[in-house]
Amino acid sequence: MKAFARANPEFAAFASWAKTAPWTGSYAEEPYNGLNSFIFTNASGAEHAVRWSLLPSAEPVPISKAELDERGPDFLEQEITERVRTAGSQRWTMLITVADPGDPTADPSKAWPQGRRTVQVGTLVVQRIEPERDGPCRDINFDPTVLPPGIRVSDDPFPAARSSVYRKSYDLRTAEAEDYPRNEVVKP
Amino acid sequence: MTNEPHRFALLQRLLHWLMAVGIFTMLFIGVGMVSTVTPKYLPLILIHKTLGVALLVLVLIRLALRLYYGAPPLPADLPRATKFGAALSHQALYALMIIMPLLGLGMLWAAAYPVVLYGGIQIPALLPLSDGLHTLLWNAHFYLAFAFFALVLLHLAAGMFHALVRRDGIFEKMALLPLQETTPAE
Repeated sequence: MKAFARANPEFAAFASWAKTAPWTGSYAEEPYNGLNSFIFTNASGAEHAVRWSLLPSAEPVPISKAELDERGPDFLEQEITERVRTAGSQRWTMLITVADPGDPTADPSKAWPQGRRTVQVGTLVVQRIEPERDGPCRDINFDPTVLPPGIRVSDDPFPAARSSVYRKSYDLRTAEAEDYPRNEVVKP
Repeated sequence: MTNEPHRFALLQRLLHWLMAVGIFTMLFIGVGMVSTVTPKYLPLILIHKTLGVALLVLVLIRLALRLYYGAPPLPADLPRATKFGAALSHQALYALMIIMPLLGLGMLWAAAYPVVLYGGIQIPALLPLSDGLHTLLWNAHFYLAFAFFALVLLHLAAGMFHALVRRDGIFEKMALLPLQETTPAE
């Protein structure tokens, strides 16, 4: 790990963020910031490099590192399943941040300066939680370069790299699908 | 002289050489694209899918032309075993030209990848999501590609053997332009 951090100095920025970030006890209270830049084309055909974020509707309740350490290894999974089941749909606002000319769109380890224009483009509504085991998401590949019309990859080289390695990983794991952990069938 | 054509129809010859370039490109892009994580991975994949579907359309046209025009006869002095080998290898080449794009499409369908070609052309999925089927088709596409490459090289070697060693006029039947026959000093 130390050798990795030495070889990749960009890692230090993540490490310091990870030590100081405010923690919450729920996926539903967290913002998610995409690191990769994509090109969005607007209705008049103009292109902009953007990064997207998903901001939670649920009020974040900060909790301490000590409190987190006491919880079980799967508590985030259990919490979101329980929350959606009892409190109903969870929402996140999708916000895109538009790069100014000269912003480092090709380097996902570099944050863009504060004060960039943001546009609210949609809402993510989570109505149901599906477990990974035997669930419908297990057998598909999450490929960040499969994009709808109007969105394409930018000069950020990482989506292509992710696409390449995720596909390799998908090919390897689907070849071993027989050995996936499965839910035990309850015997009558 | 008989009425039988002494070489393939122009359209057949054009398709042969066009597809030869296309297939060579496909084989090398196929190996290259699975060996890179650089940004050129995406255009390589896009070209591979687009060219693959184009070649599938072309081979079907070519097969129809072959059935319509037939093939010029082989020289009478060609050994029986050679004729048999030629027929067998040509059938195998046709089979692979048809089956390789279908396996490629099939493995994408079975993984629920949207198949989007150059220009945003979408090919609807004809197979359901299935990890077992994906693995089977992926393996077939991968290993048959090497068999295809070997067969292409054999075909190329046979063509050169006829053109340069045996000089029996077989290569000229498929040559795009009539070879300028400079009579060698005997």
